[in-house]
Amino acid sequence: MLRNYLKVAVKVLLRRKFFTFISLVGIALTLLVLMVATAVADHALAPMRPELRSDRMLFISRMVMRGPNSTWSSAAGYAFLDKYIRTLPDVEGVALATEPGTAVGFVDGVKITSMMRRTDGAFWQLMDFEFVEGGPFTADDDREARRVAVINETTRQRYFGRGQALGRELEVENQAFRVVGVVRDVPFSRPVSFSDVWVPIGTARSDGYKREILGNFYGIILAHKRADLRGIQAEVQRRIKEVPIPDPKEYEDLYGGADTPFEWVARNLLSSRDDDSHASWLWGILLVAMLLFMLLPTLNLVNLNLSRILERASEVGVRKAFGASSRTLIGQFIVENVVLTFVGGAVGLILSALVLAALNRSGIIPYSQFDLNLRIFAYAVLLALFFGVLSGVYPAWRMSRLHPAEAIRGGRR
Amino acid sequence: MTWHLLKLVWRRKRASGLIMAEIFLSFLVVFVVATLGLYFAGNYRRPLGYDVRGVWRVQIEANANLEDEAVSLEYGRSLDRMLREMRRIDGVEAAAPLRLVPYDGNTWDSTQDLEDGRALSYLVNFAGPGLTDVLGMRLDQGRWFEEADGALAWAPVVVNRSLATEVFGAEDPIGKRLPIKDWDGKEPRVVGVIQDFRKGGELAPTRNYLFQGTRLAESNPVHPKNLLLRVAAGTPAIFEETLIRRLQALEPTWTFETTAVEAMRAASLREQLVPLFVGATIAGFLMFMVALGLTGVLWQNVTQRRQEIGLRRAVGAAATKIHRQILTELMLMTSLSLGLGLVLVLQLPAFDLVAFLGRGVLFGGAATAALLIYILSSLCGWYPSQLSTRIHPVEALHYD
Repeated sequence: MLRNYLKVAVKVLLRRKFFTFISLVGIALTLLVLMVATAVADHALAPMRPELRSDRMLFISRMVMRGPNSTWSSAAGYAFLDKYIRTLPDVEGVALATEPGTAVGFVDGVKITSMMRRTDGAFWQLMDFEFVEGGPFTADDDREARRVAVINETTRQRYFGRGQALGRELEVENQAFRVVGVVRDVPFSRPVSFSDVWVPIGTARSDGYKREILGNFYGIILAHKRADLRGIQAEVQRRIKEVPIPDPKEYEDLYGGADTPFEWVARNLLSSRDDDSHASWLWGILLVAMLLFMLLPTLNLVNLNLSRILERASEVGVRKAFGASSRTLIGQFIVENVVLTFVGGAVGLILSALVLAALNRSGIIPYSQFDLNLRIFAYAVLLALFFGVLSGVYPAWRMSRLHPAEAIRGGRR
Repeated sequence: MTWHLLKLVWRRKRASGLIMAEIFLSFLVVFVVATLGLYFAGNYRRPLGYDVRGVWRVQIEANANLEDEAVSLEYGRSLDRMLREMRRIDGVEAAAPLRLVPYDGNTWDSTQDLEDGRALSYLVNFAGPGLTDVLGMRLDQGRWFEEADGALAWAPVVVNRSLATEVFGAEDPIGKRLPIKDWDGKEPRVVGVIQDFRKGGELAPTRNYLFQGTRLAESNPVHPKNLLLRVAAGTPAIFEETLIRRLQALEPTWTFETTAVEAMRAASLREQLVPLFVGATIAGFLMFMVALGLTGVLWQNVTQRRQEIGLRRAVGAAATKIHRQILTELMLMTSLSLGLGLVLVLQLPAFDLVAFLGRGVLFGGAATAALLIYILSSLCGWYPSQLSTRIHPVEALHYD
């Protein structure tokens, strides 16, 4: 049965090539935009190197202190993370890293601006960086404030040209570090691990950070298994409420939370001011944005489909006269429309591969390596299916309602 | 005639309704893009108030608690030493402290009650003597801050024209007290008026702006964290390294970051324009799609109405009349959907959320969008209506 439907669908599509063409252009462009957006989101959220285990990870980033007159929001502080998060029971590990900051160095009088973040030793255990030279620094290096650094390939190229970097001296921010490892470039879209240079926290110029409840640190928690995540989130929540407020005259409460990658994005994007990351809000916003965007293309396709109903009125009439039910006909036309959207989706997929390659080359997002993978392909199929059904239902319903006798004659005006 | 055509449109209300919905949505899309385009173009044409060519910013991270009076005092003295040191470097023409640097993405908003009960909202910045030389700022009236201001018993401020007009109207603001609460017991007095200082850059709107004088010799929790300097054209790149090394020698534990403000300008413009371009491209895609779709639908429409059109031809209607009928029908549908769109858009000025755009921009955007949609729909209707004139009466009447 389905095979027959498909055969008819292809025949119909080939009959009026102009209409098929404009439908396909519309479908392909619509799905192109959605697929590129999906690929970019997937690139930022899905587990991939170095955050290979991010599906078992929670991140503490933005925290808010609030009083009657003042609100102060920033990343978490070292003191808070050290005292309340590193001591969490029943987790595989906790790591601390600063937000990336710019770090300047000079090679032969030419300035080189890199991003630098300070991390502890555990950071390298929790993240799965791909080392091309050497290895990570350790918890001992951090404790002893040894001047050692891990750099990425781009930084190696900038400072040392083509040669090896291992053991050589790197001067950034007027501090000299010995390079102990070189890793592959990490895309900017991985905000927890991205950087050019990583050095131990202990090498910071002053130790003022050790007293901060709010500061510029991220906490990274790795759970034993995914099922533990909810429990850990609740425990973090409980501990945040225990923190004594450093300036009780100005501020009364501290808010924050341990987030999954998506919640992390929601908390920062929507500038959450309380414990809730507002992830469900972000879902809602994304869904509404997608539907709004699809509204016009859908209407366009519905119009095109409708205007072709009468062209096929006699076919519908004959099938009805021979007893085909409305439901069968609706099914058939939706299948036809879905076939059309799949063809358009395939074109869109090819186009989006080109757009993503162009995005990578443009360098708008540093070190981005957008590509299409199986997961994005699956999303694309879902999107095409959704779009196909959405734009096929109404015309199919209208078609199925044609009166057989009139339809055979060529339809009612 | 129009009335009759309206009846025809009504007769096919389902199909017409969907076409009109499509045109309506297209109008909204074009309206958003056109309005934003007009808004930014309008801002771009206004005077900026400064010139960042050859200007560098040194950002200071001192990890100092400026709330502490002694620390703050020492911090201010250090900045002063650094400014002197900078001015001694070859190629440096001028240097001055500034709290918030153009294009840095930060804003400091303030709203104060005036003594006459009005609320005055403005942007604040803190600057020291010499900034006019660094940023090539020109004063409309009065003077900029001077080193001798430290001895004054009141707080000197420089405001932009928009703030001066809002507070003082047509009166001369120079020497007048700004009628807001005193700052730490010192009354703010206007010493100068600048045309504008659009810190956000070329695309930012004009807002009330107020500079407070920075006194590095006093303790102050809001001491500047940036030093700006202007460098002579043709200064070699090594200057930057010299600068950082000499500043570092003065304060070994601080961190310094130098950036060419022109680079910040490029980054800031890119940040604002890229989303706009992405949006406009997507809108372009959508319009392209709609144009193709509309052409297809109208084409199909004409083929379906062969008998009707053939009959009209048979009873003597000229080809141009048929042509005009099809186009007028389309224009009627377009006008109806645009009318609905315009009614909706005219409600917008009542919403605070979009009030910053201003009536002129909103209405300009609506007019532009309406014009573009008329052009789009006449282009889409042109070929199908041409096609309709080719329908031969005899052939059409034979059609079964």
